[in-house]
Amino acid sequence: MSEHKTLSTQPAGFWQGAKDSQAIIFTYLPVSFAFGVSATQFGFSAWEALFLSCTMYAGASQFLVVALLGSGTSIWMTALTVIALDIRHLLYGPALTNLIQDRLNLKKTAIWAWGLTDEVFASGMIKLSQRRQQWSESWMLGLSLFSWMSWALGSLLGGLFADQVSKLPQFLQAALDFLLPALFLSFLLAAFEKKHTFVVSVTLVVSAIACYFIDLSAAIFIGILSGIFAGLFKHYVLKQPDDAYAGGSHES
Amino acid sequence: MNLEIILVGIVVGIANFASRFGPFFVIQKFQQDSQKRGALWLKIALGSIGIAAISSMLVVATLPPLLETPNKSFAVLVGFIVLTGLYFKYKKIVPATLTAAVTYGLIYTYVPFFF
Repeated sequence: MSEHKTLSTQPAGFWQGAKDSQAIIFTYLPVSFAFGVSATQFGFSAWEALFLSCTMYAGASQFLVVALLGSGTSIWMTALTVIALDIRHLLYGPALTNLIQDRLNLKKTAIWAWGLTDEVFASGMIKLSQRRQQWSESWMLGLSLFSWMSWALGSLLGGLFADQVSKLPQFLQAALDFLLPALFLSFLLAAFEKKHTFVVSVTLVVSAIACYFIDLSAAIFIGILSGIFAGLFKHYVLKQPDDAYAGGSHES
Repeated sequence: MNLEIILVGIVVGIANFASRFGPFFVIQKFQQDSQKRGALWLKIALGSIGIAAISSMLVVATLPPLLETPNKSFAVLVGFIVLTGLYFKYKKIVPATLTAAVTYGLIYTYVPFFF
């Protein structure tokens, strides 16, 4: 991840990816633990929580699954709702492919793309944007696999030890709520460059409005779309092309 | 194990896999020549997705708890300031994120704030 300071231009390997997943692991463990706790509160077992985390691996959407199923919603309506929530993932592949220079090994890609959650995508994007030569599919595999394992492990532990959460000091219980916003701010700080100011500003405002007036999952999708339009507006209307595109005003 | 859980897990799992891996597969199969990577507007659009996604996720992770519990605002503000300061000082995500979370927890638990 961004803290990897080496100036080496060698592609990073699997274990470096595993090492760089630690920010995600430290965030996933408590959040997935909370998922395991939530699942048991809705009457599901720890092993069912683990199964959902292993098969779906859908982050916050999983909280919705147990809530919907627990409240008697049909499985098909539940499945459709979660699929609609996660439709934004369709955008992540093209965004990464745009930055990846080498041809992908599709067998390997299938494995790491399985774990392409919001956080893994953000880490991969930062690596590709800032240290493109260090990015490799093996690094992505390590990042993705260890993030997935931590999510699955946290879910199981949450299901098994749901009654132990209340024994944590109160400030630590409160701290768990802040891990996800903190991780995303860290990602934003790591990814941000001056040229992103306009896109980031528009996205923050639009997604906040969508979050307030519509709902959470729509807010992410609408926020991303607004960022895309902001990028195009900046290039074509404000005539402020990024250096990467400055010489390419012709349509290829 | 509950049959409903197994079905939902499998159906959503397949859909998630398709939405995550599908685009890579399609792009690789239809992009025979790596030099032909589409129009400029498409490159700009794709280049904006990453930073826009991170910004949106930050909003979605932060705003709902604040709307629900406005007295978290001060602790969130302090947590973000600590995180930003530590990140720019040391450029390390893990310690900055964890320290900010503990700071948030301490402020929210022990510092009275009336909104």
